[in-house]
Amino acid sequence: MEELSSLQLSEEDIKSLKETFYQQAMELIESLIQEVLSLEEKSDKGDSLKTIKRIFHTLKGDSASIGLKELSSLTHKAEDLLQAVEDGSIEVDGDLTDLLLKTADCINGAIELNLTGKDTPLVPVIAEKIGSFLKGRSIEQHAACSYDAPLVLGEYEKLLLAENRKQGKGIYFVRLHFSADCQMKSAGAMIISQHITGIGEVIKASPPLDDREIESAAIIELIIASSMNAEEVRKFCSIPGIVDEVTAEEFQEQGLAIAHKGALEAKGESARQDKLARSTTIRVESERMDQIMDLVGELVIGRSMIARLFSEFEERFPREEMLGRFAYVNSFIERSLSDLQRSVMKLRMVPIDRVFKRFPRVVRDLAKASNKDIKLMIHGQETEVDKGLVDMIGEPLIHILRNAIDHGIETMEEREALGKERQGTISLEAYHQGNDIIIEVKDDGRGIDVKKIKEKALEKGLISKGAMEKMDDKDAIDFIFLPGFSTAKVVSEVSGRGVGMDVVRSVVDGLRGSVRVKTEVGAGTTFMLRFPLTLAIIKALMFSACDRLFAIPLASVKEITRVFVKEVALINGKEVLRMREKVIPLVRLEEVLNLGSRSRKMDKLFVVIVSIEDKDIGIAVNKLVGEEELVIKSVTDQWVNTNIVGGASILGNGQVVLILNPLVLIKKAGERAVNDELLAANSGQ
Amino acid sequence: METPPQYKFLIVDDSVFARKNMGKVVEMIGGVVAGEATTGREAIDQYFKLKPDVVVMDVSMPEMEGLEALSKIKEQDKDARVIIVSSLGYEELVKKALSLGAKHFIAKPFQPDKAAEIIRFVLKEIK
Repeated sequence: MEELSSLQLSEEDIKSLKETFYQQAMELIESLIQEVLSLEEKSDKGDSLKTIKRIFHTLKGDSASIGLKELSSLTHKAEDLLQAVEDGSIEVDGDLTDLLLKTADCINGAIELNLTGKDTPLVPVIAEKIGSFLKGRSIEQHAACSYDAPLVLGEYEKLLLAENRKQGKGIYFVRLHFSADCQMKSAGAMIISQHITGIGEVIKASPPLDDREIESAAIIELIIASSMNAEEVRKFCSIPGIVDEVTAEEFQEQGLAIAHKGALEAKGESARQDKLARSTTIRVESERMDQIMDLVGELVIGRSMIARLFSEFEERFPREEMLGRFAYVNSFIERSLSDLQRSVMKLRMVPIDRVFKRFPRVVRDLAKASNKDIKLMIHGQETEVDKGLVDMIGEPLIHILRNAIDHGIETMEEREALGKERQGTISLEAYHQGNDIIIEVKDDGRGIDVKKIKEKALEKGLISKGAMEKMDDKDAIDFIFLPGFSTAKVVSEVSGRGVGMDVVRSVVDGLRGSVRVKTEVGAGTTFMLRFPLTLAIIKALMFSACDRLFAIPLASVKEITRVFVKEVALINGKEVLRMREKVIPLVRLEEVLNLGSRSRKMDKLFVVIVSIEDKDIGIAVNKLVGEEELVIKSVTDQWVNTNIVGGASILGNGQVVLILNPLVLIKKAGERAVNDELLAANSGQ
Repeated sequence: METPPQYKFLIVDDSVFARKNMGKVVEMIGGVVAGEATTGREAIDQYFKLKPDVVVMDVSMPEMEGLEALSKIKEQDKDARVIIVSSLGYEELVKKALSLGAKHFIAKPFQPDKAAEIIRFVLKEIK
């Protein structure tokens, strides 16, 4: 295969090819890691081995095509290694999986570095390692294996093919039989390759012309693009001393695919192939998707403008005959638009597996590093979530996993002494609940000792002694989310200095989600992360307060109530409401947002009760406006320098509505109406 | 093959026997041996003096300048037609030579008719 640079491709084409290569390689490496990890578990390793070998093979071919020679030779070596394993001359054990994982990492690093134009020194090192592994472990050489990789076109080759077809060139399937007296087949293959370059281009060769397998091949199959006709190509490919017999025919993709499908099924690899086929999707830069999302948002706004105009029109001309037709068109647009909105939203949805599949590796490595035996169980990896969530959620989840491994799960000896299974279990689960997506990380480790947390909080002066005694465990656990708060006695290498949980909180906040911790000493800890299903559109309750329009996610609204002003009590100068059994802080937006007191004196006021994870606050509002689906736009305005406002939206009438982040509001309220007094009041019930 | 114009050959090999042997092949296809060389340095000198149509050169010579000679020749005359001769087991060398621009290779020991075929094949390019 030629290097990209020698092709007649524009820079942009090369760039996009590289991009394709990169993306595919990343996916391949991910599944490579998965398969390697599964090697350790499965009793029948045949399929995994085949898959791993195939992945190396693909990476080899692709990296050669893109000009990454070192990488191509590394993957080639890895392929040899897998061959030796399949032949049974090397056993599958921890050393082998380690080496394979290292190789995967190395390939990963090499590709990433190459994108930035740097070479990685690690590639030859790993290649060397594989070499010595092969030498040291292999009982017999596997020289005489015949090459039987089918001539299946990859994405890159398909692209080449299409490119050549566009230029009006013929595509030929050529089969070359090596001469019996060709003693140096790989040198012969070089001549074949050079020779063909004179009349066209080799799109695909099996075995690849620069492959060591060539030595044991009797036949080379090629797909060639050339402006010559089939007979000319056939004649041209008869190279004395190298090629005896040549057949050349017009290449038909369909035929080949079918022929090879049969061959693959015979090999029991159809399942894998299907999987590959299914993942052959259109890749779209997420920026473009966001653009579409934005445009849909604009359309939604436009539609509500029309709706407003229409109702004005209706008021002005109630007898107008065209009203009915207007109404019909209006509802038609509304329907289509909501379909469109849903479809676009679906575009943004990806299975959470994209994040989850990194974790078996992470857990394995971390467990190994801390000398623990830990099983990771994953459920609901097919759960679809917003792409934005997938991009952001990886880091906090890793922090939680690290904590579970490092502080949660006990050592094997401890577990045994406690009568637990030696192997610890962490389960990771994702599922939908109403309009939310829930991600749960659960371990069966030692749990978090709330008492210790309280002591630490006291020590750090975060809480008074009196409050500490009354504080319930649920609230106390939240201290772990404060920056720099760590109860780990020994600062371990794995989770560092206890940083991390504050990262979890801030990322979760940023995604308008929430996190709840359930823990039981001796039994384990569960982190429950809750996020809105989509990050781009929310159902919100709109209301006005101090002459401004606000909205709050409907999901967080517990109830709406009206109270007499005289029912508002003052505790330590802060307003609170008595709601049934509970005392909850009353938040006035003009105060938290520093808008200046503009609310009119009334003896009754509306209160929106917002509740997240069992914490309630009341927001005083002037007027309820209604529910609406809002397209969230991020706020960059200078004056909104508070995270209480999580975004903004534009209504049909052009009015701007600020979307409040209920979580931050609740936190703010907590700060204001210092826990102590509230707790005192609550416990006084 | 129809009678072609008399092509000039330069044969480079440290072995007299090998040069003679190859000379026979050259004659078989109606070519003429314009010169011989035993080292890479000689080969370069001879090449630019004689301007042969084809160089047939052993790359596995003891005084290992075969590749060097090849690259020097190709450097100054990128259209130079060089056929590599090599004993078995020097495959890497052959591949190197091919990547440097050698047109073809003949593996030693060779059957004269096969070698002739290869030379003819290379000559076909000359129009």
